[in-house]
Formats: sequence, C-alpha cells, structure tokens
Amino acid sequence: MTNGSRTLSGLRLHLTQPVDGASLAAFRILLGLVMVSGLVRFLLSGWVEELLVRPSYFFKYPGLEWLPVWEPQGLHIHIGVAICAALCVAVGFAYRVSCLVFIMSFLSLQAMDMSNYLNHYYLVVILFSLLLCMPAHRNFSVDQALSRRDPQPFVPRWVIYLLRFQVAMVYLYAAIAKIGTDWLLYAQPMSIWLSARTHLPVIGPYLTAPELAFIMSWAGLVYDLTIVGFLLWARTRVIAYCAVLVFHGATWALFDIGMFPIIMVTATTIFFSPSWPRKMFRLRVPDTSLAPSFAISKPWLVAGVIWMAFQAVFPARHYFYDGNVLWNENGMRYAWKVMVREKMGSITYRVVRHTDGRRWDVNPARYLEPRQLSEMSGQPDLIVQLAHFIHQDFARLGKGDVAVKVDALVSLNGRPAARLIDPDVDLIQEGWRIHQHVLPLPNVPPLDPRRKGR
Amino acid sequence: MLRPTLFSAAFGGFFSLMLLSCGDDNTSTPNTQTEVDMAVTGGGMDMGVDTPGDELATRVDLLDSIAVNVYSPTYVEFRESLRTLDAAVSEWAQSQTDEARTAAQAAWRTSMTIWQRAELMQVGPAGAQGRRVGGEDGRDRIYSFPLSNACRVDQELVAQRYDGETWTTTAQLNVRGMDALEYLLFHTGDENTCPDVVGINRNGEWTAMIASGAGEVDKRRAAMAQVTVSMVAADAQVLVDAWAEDGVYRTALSAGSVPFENTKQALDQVYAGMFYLDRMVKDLKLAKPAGLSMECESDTCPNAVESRFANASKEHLVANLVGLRHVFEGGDDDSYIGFDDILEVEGAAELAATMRMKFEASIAAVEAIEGTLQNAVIENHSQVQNAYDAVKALNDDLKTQFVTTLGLSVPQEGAGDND
Repeated sequence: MTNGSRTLSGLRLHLTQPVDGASLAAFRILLGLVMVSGLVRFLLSGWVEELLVRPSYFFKYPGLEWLPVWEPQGLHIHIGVAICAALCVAVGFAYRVSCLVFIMSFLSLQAMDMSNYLNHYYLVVILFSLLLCMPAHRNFSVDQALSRRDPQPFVPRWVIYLLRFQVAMVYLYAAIAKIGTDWLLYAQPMSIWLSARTHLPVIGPYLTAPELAFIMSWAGLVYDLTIVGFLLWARTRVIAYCAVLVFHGATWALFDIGMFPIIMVTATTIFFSPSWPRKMFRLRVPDTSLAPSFAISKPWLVAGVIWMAFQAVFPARHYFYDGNVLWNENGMRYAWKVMVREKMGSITYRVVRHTDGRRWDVNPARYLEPRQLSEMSGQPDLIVQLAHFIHQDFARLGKGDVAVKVDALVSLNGRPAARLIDPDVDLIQEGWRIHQHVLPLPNVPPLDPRRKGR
Repeated sequence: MLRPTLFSAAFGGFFSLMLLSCGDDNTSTPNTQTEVDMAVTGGGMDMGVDTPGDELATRVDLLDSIAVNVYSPTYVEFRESLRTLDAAVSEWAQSQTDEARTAAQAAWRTSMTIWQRAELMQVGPAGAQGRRVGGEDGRDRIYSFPLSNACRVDQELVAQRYDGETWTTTAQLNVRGMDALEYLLFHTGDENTCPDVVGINRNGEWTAMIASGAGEVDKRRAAMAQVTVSMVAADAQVLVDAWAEDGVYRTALSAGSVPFENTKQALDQVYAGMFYLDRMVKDLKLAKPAGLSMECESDTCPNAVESRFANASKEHLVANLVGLRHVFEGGDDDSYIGFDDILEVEGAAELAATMRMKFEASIAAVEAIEGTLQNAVIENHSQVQNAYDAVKALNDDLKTQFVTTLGLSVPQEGAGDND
C-alpha cells in the first residue's frame, strides 16, 4: 500500500466514523422551523399577492418557461404544502418524502419569477437537498419514535463535515465578494445604506459617520473570512457563535435582509459538537465506541466529491468572464454575493418597426410591478427577457415586426449613471449571449464617503 | 496551533491594508477630488464631518423644509387662488357674458398652474388610497387626469345631478375636479363630446336640453362650474389643513411619526411623489401625444394632450417641472434645504449641479415648443421630441444615481426581502 492510498483509506475511515446524530437532528429541526416561519411570514406579509398575483409578466429561468404561476388559491395551497412539508421535516415525519416535497414546492415557488431570486432561497434549497441525503431523522423524530427497529442515534462523520463545508463556502465567497475597491476603499454600498438609516433609535445619528461605514465594511470582510475558522476551533467556538449572533443580528436590524440572518444563525449550529443538543438538555450522550462503523459506497463518495467540487468552483465562475460582475451580473447568481451592491437603472426600450422605421419608447413599468422593475433594471438577462416579451406584444397588437433595443442607464454604488447595454443592439437577435453586448463599467469611482459634508 | 497563527496573520494583514489605504488613496480608479480632499485632511480617517448628527439633522431638515416651504404654501396658494376662481365663476353664472367667462377662464389658468406644481407632491392625503401612506385620493378628487372624461360632464349637464344635495359625496372623480372645470369653462357652443351611441345623444336628451331655452347649456355649465369650484375648494382645504402648522402631516413628515413608520419612509414617500415625472410627465403628457408611446395608434396623437380645451398643456408641463424643482431644492428660495443640499452633504455635489442644469434644460425645452402642444406634435415634432429627451435625461438621473446616492426605495418596491 502506497502512502497516498494509505492516506485515502485513513481519510475514508475518519469520514465514516460514527458520531452522535443529535446536532444533525437539531439542524433539521431548526431549519425546518425556520422555513415554516419564513413561509408563514410570506403569507401574512401579503407577498403572495404582491410577488405572484399582481404581476402580469413573470421572468422565467431558462428551461423552466413551462412552470405555471397558479391562481391565488393554487398559490396558497402550494405554499401550504411547502409549510406542511417543512413542518414534517422539522418533526421528522416521513422525513425523506417531506424533504423532497419541500424542495420541489419551495424551488418551484421561487422559480415562478426569476426576479424573486435571493441567495438565501438558493441556500435553503441546497441545505434541504443535503438533508435529503442524510439520516437526519435518526434522532428526535416521529419516524424514529414510530420505528420498530432499535434506535440508531449515530450518523457518519461525513454528514456533519459536508454541512460545515457548505456553510463555509457561503462565508468564504461572501468574503471574496467583499474584496474589491468599492467595498474596501470606498466603504460602498455600506455608507449609502447606513446614511439612509438615520431614523433608527439611539444609533441612528452615528450611522452617517464615514468612519463607521469603513469599520463595518472591513469588519464584515474579516468576519466572513474568519468566522468558519473560529467556529471550527473548539476553544473559540462559543465566542465565535456570539459573534455570529451579533453580526447577523446587526444585519437583520439594519437592512431589509429578511430570513438570511436567521438561516445563517441556524446553519452555524452545525459547527458545535455533535452532541451539543443532548448536553444542552442534559440528555444521555450515547457512547460512540459501541456504535457500528459506517461504510461509504463508491458512488456516494464520488457524488460527494463532485458536489463539493461544484460548490467550491461554481461561485467563482465570474472570474472567467470579463468585467466587473457587480456591473455586468455575469456570474452573479448562485455565487453568494450577498448585499454587495446598490444598483438602480432607468430602462427605456426603443422599439423600431423594420418596415418604416416608426419608433416607440416603451417604459417597462407598463409590464412590471415596481419590485420586478427594480430588480430587472440592473440585470442584462432579465432586460433581454422582457425585450422578447415586448416583441411578442407588438406582434399581438398588430404593430408589425420590430427591433427592440434598450436605453439602459444604470448607477452602481452611487456612480453617475452609465449605459449598461449597447443601445444599438437588437435584443431580439440575442438570446443568452447578451453579455457580449454589456458595456464595461466606466472607470469612475463610487460615491466616496470621505467627501461627506464638503 | 496553526489556525490561530493564520487568523492573526489574516487580521494583521487586512488591518495593515486598511491603514495603508487610508493613508494613501491609492485606488485603481483615481478621483481628483478625492485626492484633493485627502490632501486637505492629511489623509487618515479624518473625514471632515463635525458631528455624527449633522446628516440626520440635514435629512430631517429636508423633510421639514419640504413640508413647510413647499407642500404647505403650495396648497395654501392653490386654495387662495380658488377664491378668485369662485368669484369669477359666480360672476359668469350670474351675468352669462363673454367677459365674465374669459375672466373665469383666466382664473382657472392661474389656479391650474399652481395645482400642476402640486401634482409632484402627492404625499399623505393627496396620495392614492392603498398606494401611499395616508393616501385619501386627495389629488384625484381635485384633478383626475388621465381619467378626465368630457362626455361624462356632458351627461351630468343633462342629468343636472350637480344640483342635488348628495352630489359632493357621490360625484365621480372625472366630473368633480379641475379637469371637469376646464371643460365647463373652455368648451363653448352647443355641441357635446359624446359619441352618438351614448344615451344623451341616442335618446335626444341633449337636443331637448338645447331646445329648452336660449343659452341653456351655458347656464348649466356655469351652474355646474360653481358647484365644482366649491367642491375643489373643500378638497383643497383638506390638504391645507393636513399640512398646516397644526396639521397632522406637517410634523409627521419630518418626525417620521404616524402615519409614517420613520423618516426613511417619509423621505421615500416624498420621492414617490417625485416619480410623477416618469409615468405622467414623460410618458403620458409628452410621449403619448408625440406618438412615442404604445398607446398612440397613429404617428402622433394630438388629442392625447393633457389640456385639450384650455390648450394649456405646455404651461402645465412647465409648472410640473417647476413643482418638482421646488421639491428638489426644498422651495423657491436658495436658503431652503432641499435634496440638492443633501446630495452635497453626501459628497455628490456634481449630481446636484447636473440635476439643477437638467431642470433648467427641461423647462427651456418645453418653453421652446412653438404654439400649443397639440399643434406642435404635428407641426413642430422635433421640438416636442427635444422636450421629451430633456425630461427623460432628468428622469434618468432621478431614477438612478439619485436613488443609489441617497439609498432611497423606489415606490412600492418594498415587497419581499433582499440579500
């Protein structure tokens, strides 16, 4: 046996070692309950109406154009199914089926309109997909209570590591997203956001200080870059988790970031020791020396490695494209670029009839709800999607065959508005190749907080 | 022990980088102004802001200034102008002379020019119910464009429901405001504006009214105009009271108190009012008549101008832009605090200056249109196009850098979370 193969078999042995499944069960319960509360909040906030009923046009993911947006009653049933599934996951009832139902219902709900994309929705889908493949129902679950088999409180170590890896990737890429001129040297968009929140009690007056924007920007980077390490190290874990609570509590209080802080506060519990729930509630900790060893089959091992490789590389894909990803959005989704840009565009479609050159200026507000408009105005692929719909609408209205161009003026982090897309390009001729026609971000710095008060 | 060492190095490295970056503005995107500023302060973290509370005061001052120096005086001025209009309409109703009618028309023009400034101030009770904080449809009750419907006014002239006691509470929006008044004052002759299929024509009711006596239609127009002015005055008084010194909104706006959640929301609501420039001024008042809008089926749509009967569309556009400029500058006096001052505080003085220039350019471009807007869209289309382009340029700034600099929320985009 060579040194390499000896190391591999040692690693395999380490990954398959039994550990207490209590922390995995707690992860399942907490995440399930977070999603129940998140979806109930979605219903109670009237977002079904605002995001999925009121719009007359929905942006579609490529390949998912067929996905229907139900009538209001259907949407409420759809969300009800997702809530029930999340609850079943939390209590560990029909665990794998519930996981699958939740993933499908939640994913399809989010996929109904691409402009509703949020990083934390993507994270939820990923975490539940991982849970689906894990025996998270072996402890504290209805399934286990109903089972006639002997209790099996142990899980292989790799499931804990895989979840930790996934959470680590979120923090790592969130940190990498902050390593840039805007964030570090101009404290943007932090300064803009803080200055707009002077209404907050007690701290409000201090939020305008440029120094604070710089401190918070750098602290955010340092936090994202180091928190996983401190959570992994047993001696700093408790303090690190306090930092998690403070950091995500602050972002929750300061910004309209919704469920993201709660999801991360929940997800980071996986860094605690596998028996932490039993210790917290003074339950008997099972002796792992009595546990049977686990095996990991080759297909599962390969699948795990592929998953990890994908999660490690895919968020970095924008490095293979030209330009600033915050500007051209090429590789922006699924890359954990959380809260790193303040962007707003003014979009006017220039529609020109081929036969006689007759021109119309179309305000996209004609087709979109304000939130959709706001999201679309800085994202080239969504701009192209709507261009195609406008083309179809003109045909439907009998206005002839038209070219659809766009005058897209966009401001990023307080910069003067600049053209995002070549205004001479007929977007109808472009499919997903639009990024070829995205113009570069002008070499102008963002709003500089050091110039405040001058 | 490897990890703590690495973390210490990471911490140390990043803080060193931060200190370096603050001591020497060595960015990849050089900014001359920044370099000058850094030189003046000697670098480091001296940002030149005296106290942390400075900007808060400025934003609160902005809201206070808008309430005190823009909204309140505009509504008061409008209500005062209605006294003259009321007197003039009453005189016309009594005398039925052309001179009296002309005087009433002039008074309407004066009032309407003031109201057009207020169109950009749809905050609180003037806003649309369910879409604005505290919205009570105040604006729509006073002026219902683009819902204006002259035929509906003709129908009421026949039915004479305006004489009834319940009229003030039952009158629909398009027969009770300044747009109905425009039609009543400026449309002359015995013709009505309804198609033949509408009841008053199909059933001969209009013809019967004309035949009932000489000048009957003008008598009814004057009578309905009298009632309409008093209704507009009552609706205007609601707005005056709301923004008066002891009114709910005057203090609530700058305090961010009920009905506003906070000053950020109050500022967003002010911005929502300014959004009138986008959909109404740019799209409906300019693009549609000029044939640039999808709603215009032919090359141009002169009948889609805002003021078809008084031919005051151009003047209305200018008043809209002046009203917006007042909100932007916090009033018509340089000493008042406006958005331009906030932009300067935020370090975006160039944007403030650019927008001031674009206000001037937009107003100049509209004023440069020869003749009425209705004629110009056919005869001087390029002038209308220039005005549209100038307004769009201003609107683009209002929707982009203005928003990202001040961290404003675009109207009604608040649903859902962000990340």
